[in-house]
Amino acid sequence: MSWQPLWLSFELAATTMFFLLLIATPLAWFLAFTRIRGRGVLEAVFALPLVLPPTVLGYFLLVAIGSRSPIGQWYQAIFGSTFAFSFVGLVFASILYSLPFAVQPMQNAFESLGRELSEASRTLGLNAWQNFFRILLPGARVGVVTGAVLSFAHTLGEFGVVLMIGGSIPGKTKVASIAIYEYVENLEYHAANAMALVLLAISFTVLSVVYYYNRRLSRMVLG
Amino acid sequence: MKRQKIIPGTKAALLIIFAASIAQFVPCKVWAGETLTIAVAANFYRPMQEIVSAYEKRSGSRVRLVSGSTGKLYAQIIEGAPFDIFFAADRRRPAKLERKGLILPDSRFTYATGKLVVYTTRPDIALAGRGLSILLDPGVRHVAIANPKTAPYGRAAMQALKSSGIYQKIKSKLVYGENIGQTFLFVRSRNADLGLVAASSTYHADGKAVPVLAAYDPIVQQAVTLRDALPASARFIAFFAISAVHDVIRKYGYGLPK
Repeated sequence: MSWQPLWLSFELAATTMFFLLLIATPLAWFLAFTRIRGRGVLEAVFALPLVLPPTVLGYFLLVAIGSRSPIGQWYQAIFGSTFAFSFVGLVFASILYSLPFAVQPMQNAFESLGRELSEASRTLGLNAWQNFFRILLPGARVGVVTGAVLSFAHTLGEFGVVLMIGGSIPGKTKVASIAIYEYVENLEYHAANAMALVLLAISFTVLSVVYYYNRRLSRMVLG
Repeated sequence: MKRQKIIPGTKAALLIIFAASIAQFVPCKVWAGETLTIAVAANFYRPMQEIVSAYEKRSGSRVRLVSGSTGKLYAQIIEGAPFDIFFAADRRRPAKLERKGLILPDSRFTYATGKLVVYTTRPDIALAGRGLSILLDPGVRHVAIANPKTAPYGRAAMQALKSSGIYQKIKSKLVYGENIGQTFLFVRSRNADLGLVAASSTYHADGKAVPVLAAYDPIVQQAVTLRDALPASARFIAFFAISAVHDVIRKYGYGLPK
């Protein structure tokens, strides 16, 4: 069994989680408090990756960002490589794929704080930024952490999308789930078992540690 | 407390959902008994669809097609997948099934021999007369082949790359499709500049294709009837010998067994 695919999976999951923290947190805040028309449509759009089969998402990406499409040519001009068959491409795909898993708990947490809290803090003289960073973000901390962890876990288990756009390049796009799949296809059940077990053990440990601290954190926040 | 009004149609909708969810568990021996399930290697899927629809018209019975890489279908058969006939992309896996006693005695036969082509959809790449040396071009960044470990066409592609002596030089350009169909998609969607794919997948596709001349072991594609197959399997196999079927096989760029 090679350790490289496992390491790659964690790298991908961690990178995706990092970017999703930056993207999903403000998005969740926006969706929670916006009063614009068509909010339901927006929410549906961002929840779409939840419903689409990963292979379909992968296929869309492959065709939409392939070198045949304008987006693909634009992408290549910026990043100097194709979207498919690259680690950066996988990160993009994973952000899209795991977005709802990050947004939903975060949005729930923001919504549970209620509009009144922001109104009160704004009345007391905090500006929008201060309100977000000093009041809302600490208040929704548990939801934000849960969203981040879920996106990490979800990316770790990602398979269909990577299968479609990855190209199984060792060290670049051959993540653990793909490696396990190939072991199984080659009837190398021992290697498949070993890697699956390691993946399971590490994922379980990460999740339990985070949930444990999250519970303590929520107790601290709620007093 | 006032009872909430149910939205009209809710009951009907729930009923439909319920019926749909249990429908799969109702045994339908009458239909199932007549329906053959055929596992087919991805490269032969399209010709097989044509052959099957001709067969269905003539025999009046139904055929279910399952396609995938030969390696995966083989693993599924070993684990007891309910297939009647298996059209593989090589002779290794059918022979293995025969040795394991999982097929009907003497049911293994060669139905086609596959050919590899170099395929591209990039208008600026000229394939004619270049052979595999086109892969060395700096403009060619990604070359798609099927996974050599699981897909016979991937194995053949790897052999061709090695026998032509360019493997070491283009190793870093290789990307791997899970089966030959996906490999084709990589090239078709122009994510890979070139691919070594089955001649059959380029039939009626846009882009250009030229035969691979470098040496590779012939891709002898064999089929087997599985041990617990329905009796109707024999009819389908017999149908395979008619000349209309051979025409379809040839049309897609395969050779026929002598």
